[in-house]
Amino acid sequence: MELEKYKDAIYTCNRTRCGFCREECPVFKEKKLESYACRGKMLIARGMLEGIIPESEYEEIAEIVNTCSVCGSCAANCALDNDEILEALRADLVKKGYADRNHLIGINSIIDKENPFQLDREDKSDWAEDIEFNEQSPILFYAGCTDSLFYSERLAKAVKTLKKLGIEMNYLGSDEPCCGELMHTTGHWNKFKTQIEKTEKIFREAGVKTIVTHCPGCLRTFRDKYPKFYEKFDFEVLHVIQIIARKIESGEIQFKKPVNMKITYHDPCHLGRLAGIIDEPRIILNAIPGIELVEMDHIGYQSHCCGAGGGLIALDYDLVANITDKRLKEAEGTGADYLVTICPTCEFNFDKVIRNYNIKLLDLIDIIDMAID
Amino acid sequence: MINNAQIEQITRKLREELGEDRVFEQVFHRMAYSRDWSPRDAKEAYLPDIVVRPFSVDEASKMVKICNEFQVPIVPYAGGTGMSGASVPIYGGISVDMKGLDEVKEIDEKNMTVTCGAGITILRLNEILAEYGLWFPHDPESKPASTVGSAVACNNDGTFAIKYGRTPDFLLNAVVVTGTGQLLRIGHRKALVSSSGLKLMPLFIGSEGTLGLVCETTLRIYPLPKTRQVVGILFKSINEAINALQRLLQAGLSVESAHINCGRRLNFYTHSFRLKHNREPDIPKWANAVLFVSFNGDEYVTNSTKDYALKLSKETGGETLKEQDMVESWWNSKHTGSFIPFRQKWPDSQREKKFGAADLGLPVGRIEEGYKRYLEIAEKNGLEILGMCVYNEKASCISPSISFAVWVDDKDPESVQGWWNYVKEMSYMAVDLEGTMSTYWGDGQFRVGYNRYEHGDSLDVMMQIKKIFDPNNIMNPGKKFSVDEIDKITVRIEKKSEG
Repeated sequence: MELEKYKDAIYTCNRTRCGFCREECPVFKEKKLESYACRGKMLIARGMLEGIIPESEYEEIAEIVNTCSVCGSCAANCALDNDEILEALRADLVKKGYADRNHLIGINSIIDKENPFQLDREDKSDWAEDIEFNEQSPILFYAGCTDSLFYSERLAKAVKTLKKLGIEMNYLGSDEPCCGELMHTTGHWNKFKTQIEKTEKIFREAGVKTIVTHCPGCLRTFRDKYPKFYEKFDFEVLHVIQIIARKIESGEIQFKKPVNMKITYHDPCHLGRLAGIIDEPRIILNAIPGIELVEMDHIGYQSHCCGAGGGLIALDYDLVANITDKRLKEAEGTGADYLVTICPTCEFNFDKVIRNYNIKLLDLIDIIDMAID
Repeated sequence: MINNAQIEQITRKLREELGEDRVFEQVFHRMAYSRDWSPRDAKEAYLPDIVVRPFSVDEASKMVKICNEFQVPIVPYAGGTGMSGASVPIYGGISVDMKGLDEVKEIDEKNMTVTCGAGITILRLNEILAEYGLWFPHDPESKPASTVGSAVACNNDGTFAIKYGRTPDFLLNAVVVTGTGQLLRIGHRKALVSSSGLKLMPLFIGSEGTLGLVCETTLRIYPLPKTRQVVGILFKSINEAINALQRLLQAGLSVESAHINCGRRLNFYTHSFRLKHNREPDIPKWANAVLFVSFNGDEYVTNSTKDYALKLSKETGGETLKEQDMVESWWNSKHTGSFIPFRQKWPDSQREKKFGAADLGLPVGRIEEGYKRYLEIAEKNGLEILGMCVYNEKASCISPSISFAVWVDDKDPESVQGWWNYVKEMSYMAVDLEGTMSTYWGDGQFRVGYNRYEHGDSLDVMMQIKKIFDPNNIMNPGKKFSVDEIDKITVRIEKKSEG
């Protein structure tokens, strides 16, 4: 079992039982049952390792374990690698044949169409038809599936901004593979390994040294997950806003066009808490004249999840809607006119319901695009 | 032992009355309620037979009535951070998760009270109150997980108790469900004092779920203080530190928190210091005690109080701890919980061994004596000494609630047994020194039997009182009182440990 690797950590949790993971868990807040919180799942993991829990209950355990947005709040409020342990638990359940059917649809779509949405692979590159890329550049612009298929205008803006900063990039067009994050998060690790090897080969053949992306999920998958499964994957991985923030700090960019907006910023879990990219969006927002940034109570490492991650949106939309509602109410409560974020999954989720709130949604790239000369 | 047919019958009845999504019989759900924070063998797990999650007082009452009809044990579960085994279902039965009762019903700013479900965590309650500039100053280190109900049921410690007291000082009113399912309002509504009737509320404070379920509470609250100062002062001995604190109080200073740590114990509270500096904090060799104090109020008051406190401490032999990061580290541990993300103190410090502490109440004049005995008793039982911390738990006076901590190797049955022998010997020592066995974790599962050493025949009277509230001994059996000692008990279930 993958869980065996984490046995010490699981017993450490059992021994400690501090429960500090629990209060901020977005799913526990809704369910109010120990088994949905990380601490409870650690006891369940121990029960599986020791054979206390019969296999006849594994299907239900899989439901519980999948009812998690993989937001990393439990890990941030702990010293154990809770997110990894829960993913290992998912992997064990998948190996034993308890894969979720909805997850499988997405995973098979990745295998067939290089995106989890069952959409045509060729459509992924439509947004880039009129954009010139440099095939010789060792810097790869990795568009990602969600942005390519649903928020392509932001990709165009991101590329335009980076070009203005003198950064020439390559783009793989419809050859771009899916990063396979869904495979990893939902525990389909064998398929994930295959995806990594395929992707590494494509990137290597294209002469890639650095990967630049706008998608926090893809960023983390390439930066943090791939090397754990495949040491050869040693590319530098950067988020678009890391590059822009560095240019601001070095004085290479100065925004002069004012953008008069009162905004609040939502840290996407995968970009903020899990990738540690917390200061950069604020460096950018504070550098744009006219922007009034009003922070929510829960930001940075303690940011609250939108609810959509970890494949949860495909499993229990009512639960996700309740989590989303809490976050949007918090955003609304700041009195800001715009909720700004930079994650296609968060935006996809917020987009569905934001009309019911007194706040509008923007991507940080939209604001940068307005501010840049 | 409840048999499978009975479990099925009870589950069915509970589902009929409460609904499908309130009752869980799967092993994995039950596994999640099988332990608390108490040091015990790593392999131990006591599974309840059923988990029930009520969302209202009415549901809680219905559940207890059904359990009373079937004479099934009920074990309340909330934070799960107790060290006594109080929330562990050693006789199986129903583990009732109280965290569904977490509604804040009223914040009465005029009368400075809050009425809330007992299942709300203390941290969450304070987040809500802070929006109104208000504060519930009961502040256990476990506040992100432990609930208001636990504060009542276990009468636990709070960082700010030397200024504001603890549960007996905050709790004005409560709604409880007794062991027969009867709903009772106890206490004096929003009045702070009362001379009417007999006082039932104090019986529930520290009752550890043995009388009934605490479902709703009305608590006294305060305005949030505007500023705070926290300082550490080193002393050559524990007695010197005690005398210095005595002097601060005698001078009329308003002290918000006051903890005296022996030199060894300080290391446990400097987790974030070690993360930041990658070394142990540098404590001068002559320093055998550290007094940490905090003051709150308006800026002028806190500053002048701090200055005067430091002046008085110097006169009594103290030296201000200059390394402010050490003070910060202690404060993070005790109050703010602001640790480096992904490096929270509690699990990080428990990777090898388990923290365990005997929680004794000693008269102030016998603390040094108690400290010496602690070192001997811990050594005799083969336990690594972690150190002593003297908390102060009554308003405006030295009121020791002392944590005598050791490391327990929960992978080694001898170490676990050594821990329980240690707790027992320490408990006897506290009574011999004119004190009490427990000041914040209660009798729970482990002091049952030998707590008669403290209470004598009074324990029989306590059991009679319990029977008034819980005639069938279904409320947390085997905690505080031995099931064998409560006569005419129809519930007789073997202790069961799975794992």
